[in-house]
Amino acid sequence: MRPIDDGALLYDPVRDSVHYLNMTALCVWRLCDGTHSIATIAQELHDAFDGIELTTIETDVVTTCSKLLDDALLTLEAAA
Amino acid sequence: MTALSLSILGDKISPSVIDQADAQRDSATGCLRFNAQLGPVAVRLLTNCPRVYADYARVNRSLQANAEATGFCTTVIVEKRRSWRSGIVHYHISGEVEERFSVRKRARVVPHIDGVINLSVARHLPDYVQLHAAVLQRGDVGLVIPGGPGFGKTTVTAALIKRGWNYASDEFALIDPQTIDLAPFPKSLSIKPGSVALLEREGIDIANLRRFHRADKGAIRCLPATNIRPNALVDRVTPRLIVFPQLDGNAEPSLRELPRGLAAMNCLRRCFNFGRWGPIAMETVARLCERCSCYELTTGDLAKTCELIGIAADSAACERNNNAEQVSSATSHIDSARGKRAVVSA
Repeated sequence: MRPIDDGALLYDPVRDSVHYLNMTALCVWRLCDGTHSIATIAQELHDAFDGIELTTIETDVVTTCSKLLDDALLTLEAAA
Repeated sequence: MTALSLSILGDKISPSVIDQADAQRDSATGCLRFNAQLGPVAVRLLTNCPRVYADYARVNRSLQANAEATGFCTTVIVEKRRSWRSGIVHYHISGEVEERFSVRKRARVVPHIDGVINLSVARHLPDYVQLHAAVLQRGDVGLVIPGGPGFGKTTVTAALIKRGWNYASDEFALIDPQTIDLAPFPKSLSIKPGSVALLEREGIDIANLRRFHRADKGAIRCLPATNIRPNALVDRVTPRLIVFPQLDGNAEPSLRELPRGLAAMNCLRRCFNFGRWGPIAMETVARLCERCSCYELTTGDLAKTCELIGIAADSAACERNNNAEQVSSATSHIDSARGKRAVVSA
């Protein structure tokens, strides 16, 4: 991962491709550490962002995670 | 190397074509040889056709090299052959390892020569991360204009040269991964028919240039930068400004600042040799964008577009000067209390 100003570039050595994450997407990606669920990620972002509805944030988190999954930057694990 | 015959198959040859004082013969093949130096790329054209030699030499006169090539060298061979069966003439264009092209009209030869050179550079030139971009410089502000065909890059480049910008490249931004400086590749500009009138209004003489034909652009004029301004060529360029052009003939020209991460991603999409450099290309382009102010430019009116780029360049120069002053004062007043937030608002 290569941080840059307003986000980060991620290099995928398997597919030899680069992805750009803005700051919000990078926060989501970092919180996908195997210990957070979608709900807890949304809650953490809600605590950090003022004035944005939790439901809006949850929708954005789901969208972001879907995109990260499509780009093979995330894997899903069943809860223990 | 193919052994070429010197027989000129029925051409009416003007003495001035083959008696040019600078026309050299290749000792190995006896062909006409034209050496050119395009930045770090040495080009050697070998041909048995004086008219092809003259066409190429006319376009690349300002890049001609007298000395034998050193470093990275690409050889292009153009062989004119007449079919013994049909009598039809074909021009066969090939590089040392690149694909062969065969065309019937001489007007297509020079663009194919350029195509072979570009392929060779994109595939084999070592030491540089390559972007599909134009590169210019004014003062100490290096400008990179990434963009593919149809984005107005070449037209804007020609207009900027006329306004005093110096020219490094219209095709490749050759980025040194160590220094992030840009090496030149000052090939002639390929001007499409739709841009001729625009550039003539800028005072650039194009109508008198010979027409060539490119498969992707149609009829083109090859315009050497030195035709626009004799001293327009520049050596290494230090980048300070990246501008992504978006053509919209109906729009009011405008500049929009781009986040550097997005700019880096847009540059990487234009990287010819990402497969070879991988994460080094990502790091190189990230450093390039961090060094530069990055903008998206919606282009409409050419004069206004150049004016906006000039304003952006002035801003980039001021920012650099201010940073230099800040660095010198910060050495005695370092703010160690400035930290980073883990989560930044969108």
